[in-house]
Amino acid sequence: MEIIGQAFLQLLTPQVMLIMLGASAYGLAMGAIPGLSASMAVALVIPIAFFLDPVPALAGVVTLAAMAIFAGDLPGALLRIPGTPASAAYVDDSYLMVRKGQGGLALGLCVICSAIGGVVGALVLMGAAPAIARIALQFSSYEKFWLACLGLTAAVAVSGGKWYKGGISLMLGLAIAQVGLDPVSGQLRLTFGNGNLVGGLAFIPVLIGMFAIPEVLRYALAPREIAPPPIQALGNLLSGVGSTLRRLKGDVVQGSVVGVVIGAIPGAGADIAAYISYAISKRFSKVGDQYGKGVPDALVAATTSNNAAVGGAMIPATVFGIPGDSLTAIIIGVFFLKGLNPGPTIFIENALLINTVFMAFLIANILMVPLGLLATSAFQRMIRVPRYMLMPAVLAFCIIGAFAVENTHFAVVTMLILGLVAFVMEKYQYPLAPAILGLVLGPMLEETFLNSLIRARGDVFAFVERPLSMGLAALTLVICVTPVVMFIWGKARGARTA
Amino acid sequence: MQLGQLGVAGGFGLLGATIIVNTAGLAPVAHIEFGPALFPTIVGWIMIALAALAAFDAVRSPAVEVGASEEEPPEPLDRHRIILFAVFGAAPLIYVALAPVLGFLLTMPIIVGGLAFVASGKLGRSILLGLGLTAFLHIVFYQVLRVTLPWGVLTNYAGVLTWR
Repeated sequence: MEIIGQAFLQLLTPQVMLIMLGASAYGLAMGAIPGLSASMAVALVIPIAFFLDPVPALAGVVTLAAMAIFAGDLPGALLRIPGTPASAAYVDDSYLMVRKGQGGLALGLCVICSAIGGVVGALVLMGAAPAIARIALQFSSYEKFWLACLGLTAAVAVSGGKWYKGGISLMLGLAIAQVGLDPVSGQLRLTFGNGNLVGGLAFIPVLIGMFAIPEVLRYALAPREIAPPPIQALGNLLSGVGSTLRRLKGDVVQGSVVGVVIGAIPGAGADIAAYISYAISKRFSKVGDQYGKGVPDALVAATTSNNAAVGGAMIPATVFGIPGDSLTAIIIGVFFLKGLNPGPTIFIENALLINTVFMAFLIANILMVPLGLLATSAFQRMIRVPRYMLMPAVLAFCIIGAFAVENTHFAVVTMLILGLVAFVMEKYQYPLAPAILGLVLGPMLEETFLNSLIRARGDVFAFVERPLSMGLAALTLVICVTPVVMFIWGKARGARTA
Repeated sequence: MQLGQLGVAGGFGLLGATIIVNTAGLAPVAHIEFGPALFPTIVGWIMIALAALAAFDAVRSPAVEVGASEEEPPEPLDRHRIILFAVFGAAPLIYVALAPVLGFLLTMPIIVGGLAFVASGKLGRSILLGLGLTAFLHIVFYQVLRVTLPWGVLTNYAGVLTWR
């Protein structure tokens, strides 16, 4: 408890509080603008975090992530366009509520439920992460290797679409991570004689390129402006929220639990958690056919869940260094940039800092209530920013962000190339999340793989000798093999039917 | 056959092969049985295998790519969109080419204002956006975060245009 108190005190400096407030405003604004995802919002701000001390940088980034996920609800309710993918599950319901004149209740529920989910996620994170870390300290390189494999295969399995495209995306991330010096012999690889690549491809330009540039290019190909709805009086946002939540307290609990659990599974982020919570809530709803037609029952569980998932995803990210989704992968990237290695030892070597980050995440979710309520009416104006002004501004941020960290023009070119690659990948339904997880986990995977091989003197069976490593290997194998078997079975069945 | 999908799969297959070829020549390390090429080779071969699967699927699929991208415009690309795509795509390269010569303070308004003008045709707003955003970025990155931005032809005026 003493360390929690110290962590709280770390946040009480004017600099940190100012940065958290700024990050809140930025996260709320970016999340509220349709088409700008939470991942992109965080990626664009990393160049600024790079120049800050670890506490304000990390506190700002986790605050921003929490706010952006919540703010995605706002354009969903007002425009029927989810601000972030995490809000897509219940966008029709919130929009229909606004059309019925229940906009105040819909947005009030979004604010309060997001805050509840976020606080639950943060509390579970603060309680569970150090406990799991104590167990994880016993892990050898074999278990670490299988954990990384498990995280990556799970990311591919839940990425949606065709599994082999997720696999290719993952391999691309691993390939990018290999550019530069080989960790065993120190030899140059995949540099093609270019001196700029000796240190590897810089993380920030790659991230900015993959998350922001495709959005800008998509706009360029389809430069349509979104017709804003007339500004309407939303009334008291808290009116009716208390009674609705008392009636739907089961949904709040369900959303929180599902959000934390699903969020903790590598690859399954806030959007998947929201969809699952929505489906469960619908299955057990008492409103029958009215569900999905603009009733609060359809909103509560899912909007609680997507914010709880952010805290859940932080558990494997901080304890094992395995991010739960692309948003957490970027946050983990900031840890690395600040010279911190996520993993069980961070709870010993940097206990105060990691607890400060958790505390910042908790406070951010509490701050969400006043800030979200205050800012909701302002969002009706925010979503009116024309895209012909927004997209050049985003591109300018990309350019200066990529340049600022490396101070080379090569970083700008890297950002553009990776952006074009990501644009093509998304056009042909290749998911980007596995590539980002591969990029973050690549060095750890290679290091643990080679260390384990050297330790076992080439005996591959040593990888599965310990019971825990065997269990993790079996789980990884099941996740790997299942889609392949399903694919072959599906093709065979299709051939028989034809 | 889906040519686009086939092309992308082919590109990834080629990348896998490049990884294998590029790392095959890495010298082995004394007393370590597994050379530094082992891990990249595994990644390369998996990428080739998966790309082959994607190519196989692309060949067997009907030519119309169902659900290619929901945001893709249904109507054919017109000249304005092609120009817009080209200038947005080229903007980072224009920055790389111009910034060392003109400096950040002159290059960024040209890029931002130019992009906004090409996108909207509204000159006044575009100029305001270019100037305002450049000033904001300069304050945040140069003045506050102490990032070294190129001054170019304005080098002699750097002392006048900064307060730090």
